[in-house]
Amino acid sequence: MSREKLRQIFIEEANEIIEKMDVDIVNYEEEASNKELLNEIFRGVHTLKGSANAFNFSRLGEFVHHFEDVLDFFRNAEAIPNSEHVDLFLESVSVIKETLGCDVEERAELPLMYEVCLQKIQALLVNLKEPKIVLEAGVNDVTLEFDNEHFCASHVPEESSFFAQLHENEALFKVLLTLDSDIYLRGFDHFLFFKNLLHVSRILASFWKTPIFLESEEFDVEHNCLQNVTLYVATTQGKEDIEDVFAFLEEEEFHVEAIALPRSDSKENQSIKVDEPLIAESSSSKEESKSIKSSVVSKNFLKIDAQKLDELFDSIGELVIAQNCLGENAKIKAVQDAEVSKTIENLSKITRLIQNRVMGLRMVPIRDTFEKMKRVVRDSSKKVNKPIHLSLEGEETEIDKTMVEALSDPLVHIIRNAIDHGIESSPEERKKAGKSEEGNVSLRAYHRGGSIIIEVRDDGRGINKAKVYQKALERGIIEKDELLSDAQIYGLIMQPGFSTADTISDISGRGVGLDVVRTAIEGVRGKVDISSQEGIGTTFSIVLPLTLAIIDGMLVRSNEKIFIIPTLSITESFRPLEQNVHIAGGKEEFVQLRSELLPIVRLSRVLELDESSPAPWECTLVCIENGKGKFALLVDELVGRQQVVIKTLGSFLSKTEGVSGGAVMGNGEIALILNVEELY
Amino acid sequence: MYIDGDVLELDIEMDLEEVKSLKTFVQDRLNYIEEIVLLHGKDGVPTTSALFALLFWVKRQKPSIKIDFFETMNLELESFGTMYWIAHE
Repeated sequence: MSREKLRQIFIEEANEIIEKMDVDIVNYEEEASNKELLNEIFRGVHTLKGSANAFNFSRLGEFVHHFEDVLDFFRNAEAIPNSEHVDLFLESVSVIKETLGCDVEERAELPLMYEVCLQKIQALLVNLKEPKIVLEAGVNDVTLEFDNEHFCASHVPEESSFFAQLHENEALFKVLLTLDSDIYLRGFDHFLFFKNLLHVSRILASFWKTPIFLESEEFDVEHNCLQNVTLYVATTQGKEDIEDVFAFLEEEEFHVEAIALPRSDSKENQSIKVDEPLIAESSSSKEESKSIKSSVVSKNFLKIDAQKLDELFDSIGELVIAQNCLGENAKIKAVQDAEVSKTIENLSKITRLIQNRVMGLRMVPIRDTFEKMKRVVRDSSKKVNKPIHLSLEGEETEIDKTMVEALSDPLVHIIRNAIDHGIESSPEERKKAGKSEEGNVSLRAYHRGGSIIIEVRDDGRGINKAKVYQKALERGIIEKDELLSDAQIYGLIMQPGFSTADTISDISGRGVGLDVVRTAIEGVRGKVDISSQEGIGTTFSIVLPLTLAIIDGMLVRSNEKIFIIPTLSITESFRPLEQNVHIAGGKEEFVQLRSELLPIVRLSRVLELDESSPAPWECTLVCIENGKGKFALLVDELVGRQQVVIKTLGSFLSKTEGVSGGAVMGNGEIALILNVEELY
Repeated sequence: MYIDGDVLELDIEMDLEEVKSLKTFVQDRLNYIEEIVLLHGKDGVPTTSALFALLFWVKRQKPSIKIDFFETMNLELESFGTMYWIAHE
């Protein structure tokens, strides 16, 4: 593999580590006693340091080296980082991110905060270490032992954690081996005893003290320098059976001890029996480890270049089109052969299966995006000095990878907007309004029809409709006396340059934000809905299509033209009875469907295809559900159901109302995909 | 034992005699060995602790060398459980 390719891999991995660190640090603040999470952060930093130096990213390596020192201190100390320390950790992550950018682009300048943050880290380290420096040297720090930075101390479990590994009727024993330097010459070896121990017990773990090598001393392989080894074994047999394994050793070379289950109510009791190495570093028990909030759980993953995946996806699109062509081919249809029909049917099934599987490859849970928002909330909350609680829901909801990337920035902006403008200015103001002192922001993802909805809800003061209306008038966005629905008024805040903020703050209120949100979401065929209640709160709902490339569509005919309706938006279709169709005001048509009265929307009229109005009971009504509710779309007839590959219409046609894209049909013709949100 | 460029691959089951030869081999090539990888199969267990003593000595001689289990300072073995390394006081 070329060095350049390795470099690319490092950059990719470094970005992943940095993103994960961000999330882990915010989670760690919530659970500061969770050493495992701190170790996870440390490991990320350690890996980053090693790789940065290997690829001559020296400035990044230098910074990360000092940051690692601080983390290492907290790993090995009882002290728990306070909020200011966490601030510094997060600031450091931001600097690391920027420094990586500088090093990647080989820019001479460093991030603005590089020196400042580095000094803060160094100062913190001095403050932390100074009082205890003499005491701490030489405890469980292999780095100090070897006087270099290439070691990281082992994560050592507590003695009590071994009880969880015992089988029925097994007891726990500790064996201490202090073998003399001449054991190899005497024909013994640590592992010889390990092997013999397996006859009477199960070895759970062993703890080895690292050897000390004096500069002047010549290392002799035959001279044992591993003089202190502790084993934990589980056995159904007695102490004597274990002692028998060491019958040929001198008495002072081994010691076997039964370990009793510590009393759960006394932490002191647990540590009394724990051997010296175990005291050096504590860790969570097996049960506790379940609650670890690491952002990345170790799984068996295969990394694939996203571009290759896109190419595969495009090929699948072509396969779907080819399969449709085959199914629609008149000559093949004319062949009255059961075997041919069956083969074509099988091919269709397999194509759909492959397509679904490939689609699944692009789908990722929204969890990571949501987790990243914790940092956004934390930073924003501190900046405007408002205590905020963030709650997450539906993190497992999967969305297309392309949309994850497009979603991140809009979400950040909406959240910042909610904290800056939505939540009341002070806890006192909230208390007066009968709310908790802490502002609440919630993020929720779920499926609705053929879409994914991502909601950002705050329990702040809500949007002042009158103020928005007034501002829009002042800015000339709307005409005087223009009648607007609530949704339309709220929508005004996403107009370019619109801001009702009295003062422009550091995090939002520049008036350039929410229109960017709207543009970004519309770029992935989504939309943003706003609902609000004054004094109660505001909800921004981002509505996204399930996927960007292939949809399951219902083909309908209207005025001799074929249109495609995304199947997931369709609840049912029917031909109404004449007595169930009603006309209001001589113009508006409704159909009674069981207990519901649905408005009839004539497709030919919406798309301005034809002015003729065939009677609804002579046509087919397709019942469609969109964000505003249900309606009955009047078409001439249903043609069939088909997987269609979405093709964009290009910038000229992209603004066509009621249409979201096009698709190549089996017969080679183009059909338009209807945008059900815009039909009614 | 297998050397591929600057990476030395070692079988965890090597015995004391092999470790003695290994020391001589490594000592002469310490300058250009950048990484040592310890190979062990699912049931593979070490034969001699001298191998680990030697690896610590190598690390002492050349701190920049990468030895896989030193990254975490522990080594998981199927039948011998996890080996943890603890620094001396």
